[in-house]
Amino acid sequence: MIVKPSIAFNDFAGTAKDVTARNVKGRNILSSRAQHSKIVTPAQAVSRNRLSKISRTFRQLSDSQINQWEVLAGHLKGISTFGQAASLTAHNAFVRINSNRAMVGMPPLEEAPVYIDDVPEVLYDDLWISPDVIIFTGLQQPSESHVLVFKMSPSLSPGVSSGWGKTVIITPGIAPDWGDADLTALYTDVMGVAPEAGKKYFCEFYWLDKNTGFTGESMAISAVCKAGSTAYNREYAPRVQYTDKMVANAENFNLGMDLELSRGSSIMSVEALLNINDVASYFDDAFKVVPPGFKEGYTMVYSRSSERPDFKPGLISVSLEDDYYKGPSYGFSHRAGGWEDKVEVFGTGAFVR
Amino acid sequence: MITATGNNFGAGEIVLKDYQRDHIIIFNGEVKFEPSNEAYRKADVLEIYFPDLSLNKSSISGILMHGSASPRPRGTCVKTWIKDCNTVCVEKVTAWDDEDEITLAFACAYVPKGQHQMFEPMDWLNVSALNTVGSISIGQTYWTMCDDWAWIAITFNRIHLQEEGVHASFDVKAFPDDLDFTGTMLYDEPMSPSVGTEMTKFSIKGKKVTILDDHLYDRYEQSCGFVVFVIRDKNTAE
Repeated sequence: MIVKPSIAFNDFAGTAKDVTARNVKGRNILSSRAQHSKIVTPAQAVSRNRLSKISRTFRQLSDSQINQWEVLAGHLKGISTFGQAASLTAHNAFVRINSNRAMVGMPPLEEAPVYIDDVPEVLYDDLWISPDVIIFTGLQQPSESHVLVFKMSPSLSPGVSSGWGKTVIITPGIAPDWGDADLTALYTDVMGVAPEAGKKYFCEFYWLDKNTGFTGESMAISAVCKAGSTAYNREYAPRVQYTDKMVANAENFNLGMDLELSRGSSIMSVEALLNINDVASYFDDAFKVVPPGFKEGYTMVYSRSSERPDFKPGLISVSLEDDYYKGPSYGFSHRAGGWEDKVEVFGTGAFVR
Repeated sequence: MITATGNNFGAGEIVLKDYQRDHIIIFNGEVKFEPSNEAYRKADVLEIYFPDLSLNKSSISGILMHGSASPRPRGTCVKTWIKDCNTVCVEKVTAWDDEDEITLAFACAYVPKGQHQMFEPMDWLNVSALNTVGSISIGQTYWTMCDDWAWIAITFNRIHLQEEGVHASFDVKAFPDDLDFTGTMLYDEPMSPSVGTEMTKFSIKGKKVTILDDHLYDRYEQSCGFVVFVIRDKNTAE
């Protein structure tokens, strides 16, 4: 759009070829006609098809259902449920709620959801936008049904003051994993490249309640990509977690493992399924690569036979050691109680050394 | 102490000793119920309701449960977790449903996952048994403590009593004086097939650990032990 006084179009409003003129508050505004691309990307096609399908569904609603949507639309008017004050018709509300739900794979609602509370704003401890990682930590998920919608711009010059119009949806809804929302792979999938150090990025994010389709206040942050976090300029410390995906497991003893330190303490949470066939009631195995935050130490939790109705309980020690020959390794050793080849291991214990 | 507002398995009033902070909840105590009751029969997961727990979600923790068979009950370990800031869940295991009563023995810590900070392991402290009553051979041990709680894991290679009318016991010099705890330990189960293992009570009163088994005389128990989080009772000790 261009804005300039024009002698040719003075006091004139109308369209000539691809140029439209109108007078607003004493100024003539000339704008060129929007040229729609004939090329429709698959994502656009899906989105447009989805919207028209939702819109068509509205016509099939009963009068009482439409009344419900009118009530909801009236209630939504002027509040920040959609991130901005808005006046909605029943049709508007129906399309918005159901397109929100469709983004996360939920079927359309025919009956309007009951509006009870505002969806909370996004609270988190920190956010990293670095060449290696884009991640929220300490996200306070309001409930299991809330997922985070995250939009982000491509790389922009650090001098750009507003790139909000360039944000695209990186994820229509990610559920935090113990407060973490790791967006690194999602961003590179959408953008094709990782964030670049020194470039500026604009991000918008809000909670979406999958069940109701309601969304919370959209929050916005712009940051220059760097190693330090956006809130406290802290270095990113990877999560202290050891899983079966990190181990060699040559003998297939380890059928599943998740060892993880808890937030704010040195207590380890242990969940594992072991199959120690034809060997003593212990084994150890090397990590394929040194896990982040690896430290030597030990804990003890319960084991339980997977046989039924056997349920033999036992005590099993869990070790993390930097073995002279194998390097960083983990081990399980049965120490007391019953024992069978195949056991579940679970519980929490202090991690000691 | 914390009193539950209710439960879904007919347990009546539930009162547990609790320690709650931002990143940890510890419960000490027992919950008893009759498995014949209708509420328990209908429940898929046992739920205990509390007012405003300090965590709204936890990883899987473990506790012991046992039936009421005499002289020694049998039992197993079951999973427990915090579902939301009002609900503690316990896995339902039905193997002892034919017995008169089931006991859940809480001595566990509930914690969230997601540690990003640098951390240091806690100090691995030594257990050496003193003033032993009975023949006790201690196996693998780990224990540590902070100002508010102790975590104690002790296994035994052998416990044998040659004297009637006493309990096997020993002192751990390094234990603080403010421990006052009664819990459940598990025995070994050499016979197979069998359901669960036998269990017995034990206590930790200050530095003294006592195996509260009245039927230990002239028996050799091997490969048994316990792992417990114990809330320190500093006010009592002072």
